[in-house]
Amino acid sequence: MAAIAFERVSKRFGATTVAAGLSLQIADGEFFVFLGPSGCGKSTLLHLVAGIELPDAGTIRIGGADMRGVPPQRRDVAMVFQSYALYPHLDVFGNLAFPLRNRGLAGAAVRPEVERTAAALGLGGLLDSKPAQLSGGQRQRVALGRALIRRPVAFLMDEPLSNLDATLRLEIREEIKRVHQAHGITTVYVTHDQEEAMALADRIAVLREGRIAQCDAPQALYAQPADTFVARFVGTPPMNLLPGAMLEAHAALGGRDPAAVTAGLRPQDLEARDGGDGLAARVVLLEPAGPLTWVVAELDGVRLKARLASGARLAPGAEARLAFAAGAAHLFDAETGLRLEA
Amino acid sequence: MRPGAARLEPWVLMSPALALLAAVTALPMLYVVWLSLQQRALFRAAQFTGFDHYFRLAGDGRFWNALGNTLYFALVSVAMELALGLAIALLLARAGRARALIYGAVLVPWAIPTVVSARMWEWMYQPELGVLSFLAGRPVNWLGDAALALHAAIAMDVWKSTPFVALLLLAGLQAIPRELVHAAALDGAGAWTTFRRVTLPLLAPVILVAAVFRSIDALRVFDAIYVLTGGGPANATETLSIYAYRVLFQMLDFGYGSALAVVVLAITGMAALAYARLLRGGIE
Repeated sequence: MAAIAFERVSKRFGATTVAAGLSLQIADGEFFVFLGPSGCGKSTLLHLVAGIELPDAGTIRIGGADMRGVPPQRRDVAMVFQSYALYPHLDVFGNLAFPLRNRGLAGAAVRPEVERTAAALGLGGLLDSKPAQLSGGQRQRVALGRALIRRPVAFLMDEPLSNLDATLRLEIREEIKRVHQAHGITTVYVTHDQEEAMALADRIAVLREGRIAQCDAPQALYAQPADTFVARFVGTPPMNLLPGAMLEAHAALGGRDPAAVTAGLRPQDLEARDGGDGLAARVVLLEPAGPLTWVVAELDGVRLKARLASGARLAPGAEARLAFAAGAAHLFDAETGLRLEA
Repeated sequence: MRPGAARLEPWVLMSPALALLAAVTALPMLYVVWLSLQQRALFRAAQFTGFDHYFRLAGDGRFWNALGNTLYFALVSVAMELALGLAIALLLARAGRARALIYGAVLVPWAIPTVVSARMWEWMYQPELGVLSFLAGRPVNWLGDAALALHAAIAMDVWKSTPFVALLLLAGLQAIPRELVHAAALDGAGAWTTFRRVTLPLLAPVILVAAVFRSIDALRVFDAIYVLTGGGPANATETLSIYAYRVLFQMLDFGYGSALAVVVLAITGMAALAYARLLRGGIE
C-alpha cells in the first residue's frame, strides 16, 4: 500500500491537454476519484500512474519512489479497465492466476489463492468458464479479482462501471467500495459520472482542461463548489445558474453589484409553489421522479429546475413562485465563474 | 411467405454463384477423377481401367520421389515463412511513421509474378556470375547440385511468400486490443511472457489461416521450381505438380497424369480439412 503523488505532471495528446502542471497528493489507503467530462483524458492520468504512458514533464511517485524509468511490471499497481481486458483465451482460473504466475508462484500455491479470491467475489462456480461465456457483471468481477489477487500497492480503475446496465452498476459499485473497505488499498478511480464519484470517493478531483478545478471531499464539493463548472458538474439535477440581477429583489447578493454576480441555486433548494413569495416563473413541464416531482420553469429566457412543493398545484403554462432559503444561493463571479464567499 | 419457400430462397439467390463454381471447379475436378480411371492417350481409344493407375503409382519410384520433394518443400518453406513472417510482423507493428513506406517495400516480392522472380533468382544462383556465388566467395552450383537445388527453390519461395504471411499476421496483431497488452504488463508479465501467453495464443487463429494458405500453395508448387530448375538435376527438385505436368503434357498420358493430379488434390484437400478442424477448435 502506498501514497501516490503527481508532481508538476504535464501531458498533451495532440490538441487535448490531459495534464498541465498537475500536482496532487493521494494518501495511502485513500479512495481518490478523478471526475471529468468524457474525452478530457482522464484515463491517461491512470496510464501515467501505471507506466503505460510517460509524462511529457514532471514525475509520479508511488510510495515516495520516483517512477521515472520504472516499467509497468515493476510498479506493483493493478488496473481495472473499462473493457475489462480479460484474456479471452484463458478461463476465469487462468485469468486470476495470471498475475500470480508472473510473480513466480508455483502451481500448487496458485490454486488456493485463486479459489479464495473467486469465492470472495462470488465467482466460485465459474473458474472453468471463458470470459465470452460470462455476463458483464461477472466479467467485471473477474477483472476486479485479477487486480485484487496479488495485493498491489494501488488500484487503478478506469470507468469500470460504464459498460454495465443500471442495476449491475449499483451492485458492482457496492462491491468496489466493499473491497476498498476490506483491504484499504489506495484506489485511483476515473469516471465521468458524478453520482458514482460521490458514492465512492474519499476525495474527488474535478478535472477541466488538464487542471484541477477543485479537489475536495464529496460533501464539500457539493456544498461549496469552487466555480460554476464544478457547480454544474456535481449534483443532479445540475445547479441552476442565473444572472445576479434576477435575485436582486430577494436580497441574497450580500450587497454586491448584481451585474458582476452569477447566482447558483440547486434545484433541491428551490421550491416551486403555486403562490406566495419567490421568483415568478412560467412552468414549462413537470418531471415526476418518484419521491418528488421536478418542475422546469422559465424566467426571462433562463430555464430553472425546482422541486414541486408538496400540495402545490402547477401545470405547464401556469405561473409558479420559486422560493429559496436566504443562505441557499451560491454566488460566483460573473466574469471568471469563481466562487464568491458570502 | 411459406416456411418452405423461405428455406428455398437462399439457394435461389446463391444459384448463379453455385453454378459458376460448379462449372469452373467441380466439373473439371470430377473430369480429372474420371480421366484418372481410364487409359487415355492422344490418338488412341479410351479404355476404362479402374484403379490401375493408382496401383501403378504405388510402385512408381519417381512418384514417391516427387511426393517426398513436395512434402519436404512444403514443410520447410511454410515453417520458415511463418517464423520469418511473424518476426517481421512484430517489428512492423512497432514501426512508427515510416509504416506505409515499409509496407510497400515488404510487399514487393509478393507483387512480382513468380515466373519473373524465379528468373531473377536463377541469375542470382548462376554459379560463375551470380551474386550468391560472389557472396560465398567461390563458384557454387546452387541449382546443379542435387543436395542444394531443392533448398535453393525453398529459399526463393520463402523470399517471395514471407511478405504475405507477415502482412496477414500484422493484421492479426493489430486486431489484438492494446488493453490486453497493457493489462499483461500491469499483471507483471515481461515482454517474452506477454508474447508467449497473450499475443501468441490470440494470434493463433491468424497463424493457422496463414499456414493453410501457404501450405496449400506450397503443396501445389509448380512455377517457381519449373522456371528455376525444371525439376532437375536428376529429378532432385521434381514435385508432384511438375511430374503430373510432364506426364500430362510431355508424355501425353492423360490417364496417369490425371491420377497424379488427383493425388495432389487429395493431399491439399486433406491439409485444408485438417486445418479447418484445428481452426474450428481454436475459435470455440
